[in-house]
This record gives sequence, C-alpha cells and structure tokens, in this order.
Amino acid sequence: MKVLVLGWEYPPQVAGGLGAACEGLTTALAELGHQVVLAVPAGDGDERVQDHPGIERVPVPLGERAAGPALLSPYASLEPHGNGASHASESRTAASRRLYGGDLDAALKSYTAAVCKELGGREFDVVHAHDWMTIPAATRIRLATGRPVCLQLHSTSFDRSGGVRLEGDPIRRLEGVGARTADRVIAVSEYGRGVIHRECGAPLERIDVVLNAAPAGNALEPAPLPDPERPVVLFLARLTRQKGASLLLEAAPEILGRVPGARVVIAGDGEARAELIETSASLGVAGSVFFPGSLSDVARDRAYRDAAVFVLPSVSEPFGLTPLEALRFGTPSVISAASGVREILLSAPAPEPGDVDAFAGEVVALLLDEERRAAQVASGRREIEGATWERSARALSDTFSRAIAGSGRPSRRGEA
Amino acid sequence: MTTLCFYFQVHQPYRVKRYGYEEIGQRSHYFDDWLNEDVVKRVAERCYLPMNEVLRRSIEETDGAFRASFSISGTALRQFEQWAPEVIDSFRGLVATGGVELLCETSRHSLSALVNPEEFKVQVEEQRALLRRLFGVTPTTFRNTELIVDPSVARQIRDLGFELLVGEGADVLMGGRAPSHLFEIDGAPGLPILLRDYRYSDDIAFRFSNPAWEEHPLFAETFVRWMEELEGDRVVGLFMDYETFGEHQPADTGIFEFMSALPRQALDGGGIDFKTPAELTGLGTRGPAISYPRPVSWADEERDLSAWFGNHMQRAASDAIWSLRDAALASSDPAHAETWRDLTTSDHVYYVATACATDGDVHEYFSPFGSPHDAFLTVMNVVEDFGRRLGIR
Repeated sequence: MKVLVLGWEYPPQVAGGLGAACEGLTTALAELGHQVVLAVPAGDGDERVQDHPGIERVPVPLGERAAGPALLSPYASLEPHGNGASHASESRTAASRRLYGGDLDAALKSYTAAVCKELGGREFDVVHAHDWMTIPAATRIRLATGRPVCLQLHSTSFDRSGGVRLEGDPIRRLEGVGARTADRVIAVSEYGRGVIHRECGAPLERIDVVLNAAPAGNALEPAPLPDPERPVVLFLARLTRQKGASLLLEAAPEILGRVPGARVVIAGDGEARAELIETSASLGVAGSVFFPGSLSDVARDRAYRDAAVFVLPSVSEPFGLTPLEALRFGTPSVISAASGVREILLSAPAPEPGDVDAFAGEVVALLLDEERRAAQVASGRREIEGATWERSARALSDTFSRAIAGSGRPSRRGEA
Repeated sequence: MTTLCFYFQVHQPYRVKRYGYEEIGQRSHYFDDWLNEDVVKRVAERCYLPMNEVLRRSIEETDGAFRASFSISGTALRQFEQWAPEVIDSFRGLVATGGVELLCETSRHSLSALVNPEEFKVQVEEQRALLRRLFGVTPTTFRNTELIVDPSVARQIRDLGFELLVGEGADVLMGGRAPSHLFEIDGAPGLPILLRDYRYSDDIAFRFSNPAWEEHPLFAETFVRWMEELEGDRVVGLFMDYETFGEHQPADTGIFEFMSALPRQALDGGGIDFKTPAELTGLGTRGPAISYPRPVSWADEERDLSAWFGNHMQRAASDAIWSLRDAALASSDPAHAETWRDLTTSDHVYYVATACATDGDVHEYFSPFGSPHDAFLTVMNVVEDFGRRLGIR
C-alpha cells in the first residue's frame, strides 16, 4: 500500500510524546512493507536521522515567521518518550518553539500549502494524518485526489485542557471538522475513542482503536529501593490541569499520614507549577513534597528507577506512556481510570480521577508492600509483552483497508 | 526645639544558594559565598565607606553636635570581617568620634523573639559579645529585627537589661498622635520606646529620588525648614536602612550631598539639635501608653508580620527551619549550630513573600531568587538535606 503520512512532531523534532509515537507507527508501517511518504516540518538535524529505507521523507518548510515562545504547547514539555529518539533530537524546548511557537497559524498555512503543492499530484492509496495540525492539509488532499483520509487523534483539546470543553477553541473546532469528515478516525485507546465520539462528533462506527506500543528497550531487573526509609512517590508530566498533580497533592496528607517517611516528587514544569507549590504548603505537606522541575533524560531514568510508586493521576489521558516507562525500570504505577494505558496495564490500580481516598489508598498499599510492588511489575510486564509497534501497524493496516474499501468518502453523516 | 534622632540599619544576610532537589544529600554548604562576598564588597564601596566618611566629617565639623546611631546585624559584621574588613575599621572610626551609638539586635537578624524566646536570648547575647569584641561597646538600646514589637517582645528585651527600645510609629499605634517623644508600652512597663516618624524617614529613604514626588528634588534646606516648623519640643525619629545612601538611592541622586549639608544646615538655625536614642532616655515617657493590637513592624504598607508570615509557603519555610533547632544545637559538630542560626535570618522567608504591587517590587529588589516559589523550594530542599545530616529527617 502507498501511504502518505502527514506528521508535525517527528524526530529529530520532538517536543513531547507525540513525535515518538508517530515515528514508532510510521517505521512499523514501513517494516510491514508499505511504501511510506512522510511529510513533516523541516528542521535542524534532519540530515542526522536515518529513516527506515521504506520511508521517503519530504521535509516541509514552515516558512519564515517570528520566533518566540510557544503560543500553543499542547504537547510541549517533558512527557517522556521511550524510543531513544532524543539523543538525535534538538532540545525539546527548541523543538517546541519551532513547532508550536511564534505565529502558528501562518506555519500551518505554509505546511498545508507546501504539502498540497509537493504531494498533491502523487499517487497514494491512503492518507494517514496525525493530530489537528495536519487536518487542513489532509482535507485539501482528500478534496483534490479523492484519496481516503485516516485521521489519528493522539489527544484532543478536551484532554489537553484537563477535561474541559473549550467552546470556541479553534483547535477544538478543527478537530471536529477533521473527525467528522475523515474516512476513518483512529483513537489510541477505547477511552480516547469515547472522547473523540463525544467531543469531536465522529460516529463510533467510524472510529478504530490502534493502541500505542510499550516503549522499546530492555526491561531492567527490579532493584531494591535506594532509600527504603524514604520511599518516593513519583509524578512526572507537564504541570497542567490535565495531568492531575493536584490530585496527588490532595492525597499527600493521607499518604504521608500512613507512610510518614514517604517523599512525593512532582517532576516537570508547566503553568500550574506555582499554584501546586503553594498548595503543598497550604496542605501542610511541603516538607515531604519536592519539585525538581524538568528532568534531563538521565535524571528521568534515575527517577523512574529510584521511585517506589509511579503515579499518573490524569483527568483525561488518551493513552499515557509514562507508566510503561516506569514499568521498564521496575516501578509499579497507580494510574487514572480516565486513561488509555489502563486498557493494556490491567494490573495497575486505576481509581477514578478525583477519588482522593481511593488514590491515596492504592499508593499506600504499594508503598507498604514490597511483594505487592514486585508482583504488579511482573504482571505488568506480561501484560505489555505483545504491545509492539508491529501490532499497532497491523491494526492500522486494517483501518487503511477499511477506508479504501469504503472509498472514498462517508457520503452521509453517520454512515460507517 | 526639634531633636533629630538618626538610626541607620546595616544588614546583610548570608544568602542561600539556589538548592535543587537533586542536590539533597550531595551538598552541605548552603550559602552563596560568591554572591555574598560580591554584594558586601559592592555595598561597602557604594555605601558603607563613603557614607561613613560623610557622617564622620559632619561629626567633626560640628564638634560632635551631629550625632547618629547604628544597628549592624551580626551577619553583616561577620561578612565585613570576612570580605571587607575596612568597613569594620571605618565603623570603629565613627564610634571613636563619640558621636555614634551602637544599638543591639539579634546576632542573626532573626525573628526569634516571636518564635523562641530562649533562642532570642542566645542571639542577643551573641550580638552583645560581638559588639564588645569589635567595638568595645556595651549597648543599652535595642532594635528588634525589622522593628518588630509587641508587648511580649518588649518584655523579653526589658528582661535582658535594655533601657530603651526603638520601634515603628505606625498609624495603628498612634491614634493621630505624633511619635514626638518616648512612650511607655501597654503590657511592658519599664522599657520606654522611641518611635520612627515614617513620613519624614521615608522622605529620605524612599521618596528622595522619585521625580513624581511633588517635593522632588529634596534639598537639605527644605527638610531643615520642615523640622524647624514643627511645633513645641519634639523628637523626630529618622530610622532607615543605611543602604539607602548610595545603594537604594544611588550617588547620582544627590543623596550624599543632601546628608552632607543637613547637619550644618540644621544646627545653624539654632532650633534643631541631634541626639542618639540613649541620650533621650533621660527625657522619660509622656502621655498615655501605646497599645499594640498586634505585632507591628516597619515593613510594607501593612506594618505587620505579613512580609515574613503572609502566606502558607512562608509559614511552612519558617516552621521547617525552626524544626531543626534542637538537633542542630545538640550536634557534636559546632558548625551545624552556626549554619542553622544563619538560616534563621529573616531574609530567607522574606524572599518567599508573594505580596504584590509596590511592596512586591521591594521584596523582589532584595531577593536573589527568580520567584518566591523558587526561594521557597530552596529553603525546603536545604532543610531536607540539613535534616538528614542531623539525623532527624
């Protein structure tokens, strides 16, 4: 099959987890024998990256525009990615600035125009578009060529805003247009499928689930805690409403009451930082809660390894890669019920977001019981055995076939 | 007759170097020696040395009729000894003129009078010993950190043998009266208090260089005229940070010229004299005692304790620091007690203030940290590391 992949964040330009997922999927498609043309924004370091031989990369210039801090950073920051892409990447801040900074609207227009000009005349069987940034380009190619579009929404405006419906948000509107007009929509989990249906208006029958893979890399032997008197509960994500660090703080008095030596580490940076620090003080737990800020790759790996429990208390998380990262380092997680990763990581406790007592209880149960931690890590590792990008790419191929068979377009709203 | 009573506050904290989470267990020296040395040397050059010279000359030229008082925090004195010993010599020269009184305070510029009376006593004794060692003087007037006073603080000071206290003449205390003489404190009889006239003090310390102020530029003649026009016999307490001269108000504002001209100008008219606080003790108190509805300081618009205890982070930081006291003092390593005491300096929690508007600018001006939150995290990380070294965390 000839596949045109429209991406935005892609190694070497990685600002968050999206780049790694796109690379994993695209490379696996090429491995399966598909011919892939990959259109991604041009950037520094492109020449250093070795793509799979089955991938033809078409760098798309984003045009000259005012440099500046990121205006929109739906993915920017340190959401870790597991494919070791970062050594070849420019810094995440720089990538984030390039991809999401300055005049993003102008950049989108440049991308869309360049993609249509360069690739509009070529033959493809299907277009695989990643997230809202590529929706205008995908829509225009579909109009021009009639080729079916499969739109993968790794996350939506609803998720990124922390479960808030931002009426009038242009990104939300764009996601709605994309989801309603694409031939197939791809969610990264059943949870994400529900959100896309509810928030973007795509009929459930037209949404397929392609689960992300677990991060590559050898699983490390679980090591004894470096400081058993002070077991660490680790949070590692952007400090935004979506990621739910405030739930962890609310649970901290209960956790520390039952495990007085515990330390809570809230790593990452983001707009909620100051408020979270103030909350730690007003809850009276500041002496046991630490905010190391953004972590380097080395510090991040060490944090995963040294933690007793990892937490992902997100308000709305279409997938959620970090518990799988933690697992690789032998650390069990407490995750959010509103997450996609729980569909893979069945053994991880997943209290409802906002249920402080349940959340605290699960964290404490793991902190106090070394055997329980080891057992959960062992189960988790079995559960993710089959979660490879190859499996994801096969599911994706099925979606492509479905899109082509229904070709080219859903003529009436609601038709499968 | 108007009596002008100048008291200058000299203080430098041992600023803490930004301390990250990843440093816990790794770095046990918490203070930013480079920054502290840099600041002390800079302020010595811009303020302490030239201003001491201005005052010394005024005292000599007026045959001792011009007089002033200082309180110099122990943390400042120790930093002068380390990095700018010529400042100590310069102050010795001032003291030798006989026209300068040194007040006592806590050795660490701490809030110990509010938190721990036992520690307060220790730090006052330390400061007394330091003043005796460096200047050969035994102070009789007391200045508590940031002029924080309430009856309980005043009683502690009285019981330590001091004869006079200086404080802020805040509106909340004065009830429309002028702070024109010594007052008795309701709840702490036996220790008179001399109050700051914040209007006239701030004309010099804050408004002097403000072009938007209607009196700008302020000349010594004008200020002296205001003093001469005051009715009756009264004292005007002109209390301010000594760093006003050359640092907060840079030399090019004319602040040195103003202060050089003021003494001669004031004395020439015959209606003004200068006294140090101790020289006023003989006047005795007058009128009804002043009552403290709450502790009063000289900081911010509020004149309360909110500059140090105004938000949850500040209270958490203070509690965290003080939680280490017993272990630090019990440690077999005397350096631990020293380190801990230098962490009690009020500046460390002052940097954590989140006050906004004009007072926020003042806090920011003094803070070596990017934000109150960063200052807070540094304190908490230091306490974690120190607490582990002391075996209590």
